[in-house]
Amino acid sequence: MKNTVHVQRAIHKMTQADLSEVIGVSRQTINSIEKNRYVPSTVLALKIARHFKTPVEDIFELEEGD
Amino acid sequence: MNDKQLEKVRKGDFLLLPHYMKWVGIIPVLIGVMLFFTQDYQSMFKGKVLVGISVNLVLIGFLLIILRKGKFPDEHLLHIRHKAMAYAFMHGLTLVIVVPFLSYFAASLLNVEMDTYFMDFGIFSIFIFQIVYLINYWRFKQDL
Repeated sequence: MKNTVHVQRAIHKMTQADLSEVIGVSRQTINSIEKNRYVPSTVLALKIARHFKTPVEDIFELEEGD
Repeated sequence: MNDKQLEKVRKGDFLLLPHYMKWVGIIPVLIGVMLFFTQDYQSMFKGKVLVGISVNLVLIGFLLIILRKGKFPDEHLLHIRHKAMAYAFMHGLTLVIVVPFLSYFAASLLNVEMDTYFMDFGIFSIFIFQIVYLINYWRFKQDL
């Protein structure tokens, strides 16, 4: 699953630390999500989408093999 | 169970020890290792008692380290914890099954009695599970 968290972060001029504080996870977790090393839970994905005021499908997208 | 408690359960920071227990756990491990290597093995009674004490100190220390919370407990850390537990189960079980056979083979080759250098099988199993868990937990955390 690919995501555009880093793009959304850039649009909203937020650092990983800012986003992690708002969402309530560690900065390393945000970094892992952005680098596609960790697929977040539905709750976390929805929290991120809600924070960026975007539908979750715009941020998280399934890939071919998924 | 209220929302706050549910959130804690989801994050996996329920019933875990505080993060500083990592440092508290290192103390018995160090004392145990020092005792193990500095004791007088000539005195059999004293030697056996001290081996028991040192091994148990190491196990208690590792347990404290394993049961501590992460610095920032979140779902990713919980995921890492679960993954490390699964690996500890798979690798640990394999080691627990294989190592006694290898040791028995080595002991028969060296003509050494098994009892002279084997610790209790239960303690050995717990030790292997703890070590494999800690190695994997550390390894997965490096990927963060």
